[in-house]
Amino acid sequence: MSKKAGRSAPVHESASSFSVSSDAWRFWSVPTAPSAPPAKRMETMEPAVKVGAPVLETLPESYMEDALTILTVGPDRIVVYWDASAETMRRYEEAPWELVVAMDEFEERAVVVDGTRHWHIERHGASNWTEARFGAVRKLGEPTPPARLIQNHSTQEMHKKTEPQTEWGKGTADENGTRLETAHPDPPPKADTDALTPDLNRALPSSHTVP
Amino acid sequence: MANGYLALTLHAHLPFVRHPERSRFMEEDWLFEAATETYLPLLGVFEGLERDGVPFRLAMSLTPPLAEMLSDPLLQKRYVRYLEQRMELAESEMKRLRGSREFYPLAEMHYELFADSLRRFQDDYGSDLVQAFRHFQEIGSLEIIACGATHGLLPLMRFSESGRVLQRAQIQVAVDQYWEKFGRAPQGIWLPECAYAPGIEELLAECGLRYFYLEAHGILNAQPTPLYGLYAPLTTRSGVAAFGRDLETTHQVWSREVGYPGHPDYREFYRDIGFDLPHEKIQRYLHDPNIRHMMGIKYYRITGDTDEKATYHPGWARERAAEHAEDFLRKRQAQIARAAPHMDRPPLIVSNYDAELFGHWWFEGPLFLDYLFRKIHFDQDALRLVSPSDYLDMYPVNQVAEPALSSWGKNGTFEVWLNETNDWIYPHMNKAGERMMELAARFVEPTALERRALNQAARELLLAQSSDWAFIIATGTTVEYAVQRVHTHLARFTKLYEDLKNGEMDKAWLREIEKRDNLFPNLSYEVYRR
Repeated sequence: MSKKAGRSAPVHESASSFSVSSDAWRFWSVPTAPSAPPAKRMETMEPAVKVGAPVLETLPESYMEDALTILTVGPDRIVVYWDASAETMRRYEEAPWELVVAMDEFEERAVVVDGTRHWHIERHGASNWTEARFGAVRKLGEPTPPARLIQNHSTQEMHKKTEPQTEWGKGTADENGTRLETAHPDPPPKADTDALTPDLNRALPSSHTVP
Repeated sequence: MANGYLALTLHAHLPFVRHPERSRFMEEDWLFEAATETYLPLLGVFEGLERDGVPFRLAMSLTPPLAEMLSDPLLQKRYVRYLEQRMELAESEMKRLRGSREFYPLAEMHYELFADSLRRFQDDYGSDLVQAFRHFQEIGSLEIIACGATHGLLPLMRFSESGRVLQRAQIQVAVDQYWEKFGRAPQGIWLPECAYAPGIEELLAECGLRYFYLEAHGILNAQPTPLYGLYAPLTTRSGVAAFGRDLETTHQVWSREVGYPGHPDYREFYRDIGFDLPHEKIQRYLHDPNIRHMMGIKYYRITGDTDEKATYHPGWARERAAEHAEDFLRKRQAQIARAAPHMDRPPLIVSNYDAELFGHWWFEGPLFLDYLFRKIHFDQDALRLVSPSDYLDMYPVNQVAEPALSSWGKNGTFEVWLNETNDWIYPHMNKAGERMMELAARFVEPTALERRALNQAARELLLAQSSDWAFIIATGTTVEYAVQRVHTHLARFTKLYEDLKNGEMDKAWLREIEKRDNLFPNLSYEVYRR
């Protein structure tokens, strides 16, 4: 199932196959790297420059390079953003574009529309993504875009598996930093973990304040 | 030996807001309000305890941007002006309310607050609150902890393997500044927004830190399962310990519905004469004649869930603060009594709060702490106050585990700082990070002028990385200002980058932005070298 990728983070559906739905094609177009929202000029804005060269007031629309980046927002949420070089844009200006993020068993696939740069993906285990591809698709139904701009694996090193055995250790700090020294407490510690562990489902949402 | 321990930690942070290009600037009031309502009152509590021979122990962050602002001569001078203006306003209120048995004492109370703040700020502390807090670290009452250099949200900088350099720079610059301000190495660190992703502990270890804090689920979802829940820290594989925030104490203080600060007898935060008085009475004190804002003079108490607010009674509020301190203590003792039989060591309760909650939001918060410390000392011996490093000195061996991704924001993830409202920041900010590393690699032996530009580029990048901008944009408060700050710092960085690459330095402009964004004067751009 393909979706439009846009700033408004549409509800994404997941696909268990690599097929591209044909009705999505009508939404496709050559992507343009969007700019940040314009900053309204206000009293506290950089004042008229008195010395030296003027300060730039807007950020560039594009850095003109092929780039795909994934940031982990939480275990079940990631954000993908992208940019494209002028050459890539020219090469593929006639073709539709797609963005694919593969996870353990599923693949999220989005069409790219003008003016978009971010895709917010929310699904179980999204942070465990394994591969991302971004580029143009030249033929209808071709499963993999011919342009693979970045193949970025496990940037966040998420979900590393650790053995469930209990180990004990202490930190030792010196001028070279801090390191772990394993230790064997005597007698071995005992705890009633069930009695000591609160139910996280009852935990209140945290507050945070900035004046 | 105590039956259990309480590690109380206050996180004092404000973003770096300093505008020498303007004679006055509304957002600088954030610092002045916090100094008047939180930092000076806290110091007052500490002094009173020291004077009365009451031992106390807590940990507190003074984040690098906050410490820079508190040490800055321009802001110190402007704070004096702020207090003088507030005294003048309070005095005019005393004249206006003369004869009112209900309100005159409250106007007088606020006058005394400002006058006492000014006297102590200038005479007792020589205008330097950082050194005032340092005193309490040196006598062993306070453990001041580090934080990210500009409160940058570390996990969102890890956009590639090279992002590790950006994360490390935030920590290293903060540790270097800590040495300058406090003359020793920090023991622990408050991760900005308590935001943690696996791998950050390795950077903390490289910088010589012994511990950090996590939100509760960062500990409870660790692998393998923590045997002691939140009642003991974990040792990460880097050797750095992780302390988890206790849920019960969080609930008791933070909860909007049942938290102590919401009691009807406490001073109402939102009802301020800045909004209540006729425009002509406050016009002189407004930054913009058309925009009302708080003046820090408040005559009403919370009263209840109603718009009809009753007059504030300081005596009632004091009694309530004492009762709440007693309640807090009894509940901690009960909590320890519940947990202790299931452990082979005394339980540790880690209570973390924004420092600005105490005094700024919850006016009586410092009084609550004062009562709490005195009750812990005089009324019982089951509970002992410790800092996390005290605990590690007593119990260095802890369970080894890998904490889980977490923050203290909404839903425990990073979604407050990266969502549809503020996602536009990250491509630019992370690009600037890449470019900073490029500059650090390229300029191995820079000229003196190039070095200045490189160091300033590092400052601009750090300022753009502050988590506060994304937070403000997401919460919709002073959005224009936050957007402008991101744009300004990234634009200044970009110009420096281009100028350095082109070998065409604009000396006058560089000098100007060095004066404006003047934090971390000893920073070296080489911190961005891989």
